Amino acid sequence: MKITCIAAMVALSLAAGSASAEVKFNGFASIKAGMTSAEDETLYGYDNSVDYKNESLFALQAQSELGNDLSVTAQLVSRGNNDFSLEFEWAFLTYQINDEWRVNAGRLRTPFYKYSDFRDVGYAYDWLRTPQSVYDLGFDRISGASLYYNTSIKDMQSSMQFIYGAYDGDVTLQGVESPTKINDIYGVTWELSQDWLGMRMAYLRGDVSIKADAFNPLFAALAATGQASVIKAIDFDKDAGSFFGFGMNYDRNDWLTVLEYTHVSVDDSFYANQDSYYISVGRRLGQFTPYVSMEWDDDEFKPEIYQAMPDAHPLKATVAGLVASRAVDSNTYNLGFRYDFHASAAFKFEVTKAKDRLTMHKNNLVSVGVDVVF
Amino acid sequence: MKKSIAGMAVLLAIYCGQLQAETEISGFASVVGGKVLSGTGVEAFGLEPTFLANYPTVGFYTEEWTFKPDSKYGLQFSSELTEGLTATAQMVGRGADDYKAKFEWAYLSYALNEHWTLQAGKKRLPLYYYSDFFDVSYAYLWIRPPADNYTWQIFNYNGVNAQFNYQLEDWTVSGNIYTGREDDTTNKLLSEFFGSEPVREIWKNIVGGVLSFNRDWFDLRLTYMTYQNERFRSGAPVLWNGENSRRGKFAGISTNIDYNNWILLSELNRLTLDGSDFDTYLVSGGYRINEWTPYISYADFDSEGEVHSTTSVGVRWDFHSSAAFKVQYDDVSDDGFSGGQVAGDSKSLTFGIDLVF
Repeated sequence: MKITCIAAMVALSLAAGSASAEVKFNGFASIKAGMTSAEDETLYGYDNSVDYKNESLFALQAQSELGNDLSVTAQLVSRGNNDFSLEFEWAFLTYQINDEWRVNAGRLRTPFYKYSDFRDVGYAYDWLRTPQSVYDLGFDRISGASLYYNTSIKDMQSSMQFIYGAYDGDVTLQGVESPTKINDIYGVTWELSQDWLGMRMAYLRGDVSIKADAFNPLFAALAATGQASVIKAIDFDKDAGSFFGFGMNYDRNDWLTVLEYTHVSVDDSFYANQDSYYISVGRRLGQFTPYVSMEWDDDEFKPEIYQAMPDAHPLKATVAGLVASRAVDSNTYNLGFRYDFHASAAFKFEVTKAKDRLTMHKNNLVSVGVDVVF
Repeated sequence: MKKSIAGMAVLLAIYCGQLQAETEISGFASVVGGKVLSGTGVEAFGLEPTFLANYPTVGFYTEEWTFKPDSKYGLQFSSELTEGLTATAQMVGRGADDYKAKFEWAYLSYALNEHWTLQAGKKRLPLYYYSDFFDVSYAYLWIRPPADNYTWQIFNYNGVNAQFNYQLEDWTVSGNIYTGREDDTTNKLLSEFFGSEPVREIWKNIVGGVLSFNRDWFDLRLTYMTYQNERFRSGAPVLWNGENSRRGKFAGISTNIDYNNWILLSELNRLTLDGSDFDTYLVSGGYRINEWTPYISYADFDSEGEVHSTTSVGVRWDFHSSAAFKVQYDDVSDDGFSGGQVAGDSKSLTFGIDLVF
């Protein structure tokens, strides 16, 4: 059965409503495989035996014009690392106020990064995956509303996005999936671009609460010994989190350069102050686009949390260990290429060398993949 | 085209559907109900009279009427991207899983030429004759492929494969070469039916092949696969002879005849795991009388300790060009010993409708 028939059927079933809508289906898919170079190496969910599932995904997007400048968009994504279960990644209503202003409301992608909107659409960028030192915040969905303002300033395109909403889901904390609420998220992003140069800034903040049951014994012991202020300095209890991002891209004479810098912090919590950045340089040679990229992740832990405790306190070492475990100092090198073998599909190859500068342990990963849009 | 513009264009295309790929949607469904008429259960496991009709998805009947074990629906999306590239995704919801939908298949196909196609992604593991259309009950005679043969706990895999198809005079020769792995974090069959703690089942370094010969009314299929098995019970590695991994080898042959309204189906498989053999076979016969096809079937499983067989009689009625009604009686004999019993003896009645669209 052809899609138009389905659209007609859907329209028919919606006949009880006022509008007869036409549904458009699109999709994208990535099939990726990877393995590390030695038994004691793991990276991005891969180990030393070939895995085809970890980063593979299939997605279908349905969009329906409801008339009167109103449309609805739903994106169903099925990820290999979630056993290909179907989930609504996006589900929102769009109202086009006029040529310049637009509102989206529903389940949206949080606009942290330059490639946030199409992070899952591998076809949209040259890398095999977005630079993970930067694209590593544990969540990127938001329930809320977003206001877009698109205009031109001289010969530049300007795109602003104002967002407000909340996140209710899980975040991985110390290796454990923990129920998380981030309330009163608000933020603004601004992207300016012209022919061959683009710049982007993003600022978001929100109140972060994470329920981490694994900490309960420690917190009980701290409370019993009069260290309530240390608990407060560790836990996530409506603590102000903030995100700042800056990005730039240069694309001229077949040379491509992208860089992004992000800073993330959560006050009154043991969450380290995270600085991450990357720079990527590529060269377009017909259907081939080789690239090299470098990433840095520098997360400064907060020694002041345990320094405030009396030296004799029996839990001081435990707290110090916990707080220090948030420290990250790593750099990662990627070398790869994109090969556009088909009008709507690209083959990619990437070699990654990630070095933990605290332990001096290195993880090497080879990945291949095919990204498709349809 | 500049990258930023390319990115926008892709996004726009996804938003607005400008890359006009033709997406075709097809599907299948089965609504099947039944119950155990009489059975022994297995006293040692505290199991009531039970008919395990579907091993991989753990679909089982008891003495209460139920529509869950064999009922299911599936939707298949297939997008032609021109120049030989196709994206296929199949969403399946099974009664045995409370009809929760999952993408069971999600792969890309690339036709190299008229004979060869490369595929990558998540696919059905093509071990058995009916593997590829195991869920599409409309495509075969019975209510379900005989359970004693289709006892695989891993039935999908993630990987790559190459399919081929050649015409040699009157013969069609086709086949498939595949490699991949599957990591099932909580395997349903091992966790829920053969045990009560979470079992993670890994089949890795899977390498296999299928070779089929068809002409007119005759069909022969050969299958072989080897894999490395790792298993974790409640997170702890299972050891076999002191090793945390074992190699399995699977080989099978299947011949089918459909001649002058007579249908004769057979399948013979052997899995060798760690030196012990698991032998299965099935024989089915049917005779087509216009829209009606009565059939009988015998299927057998034989290994050290686990021994069971099923004798079935049933009829398929093709009352519509894309729907069939079936009713089937199954008599299971469980001769397992030293803890090798599955679900005891049982006699069951099941009936239902299979359709494709």
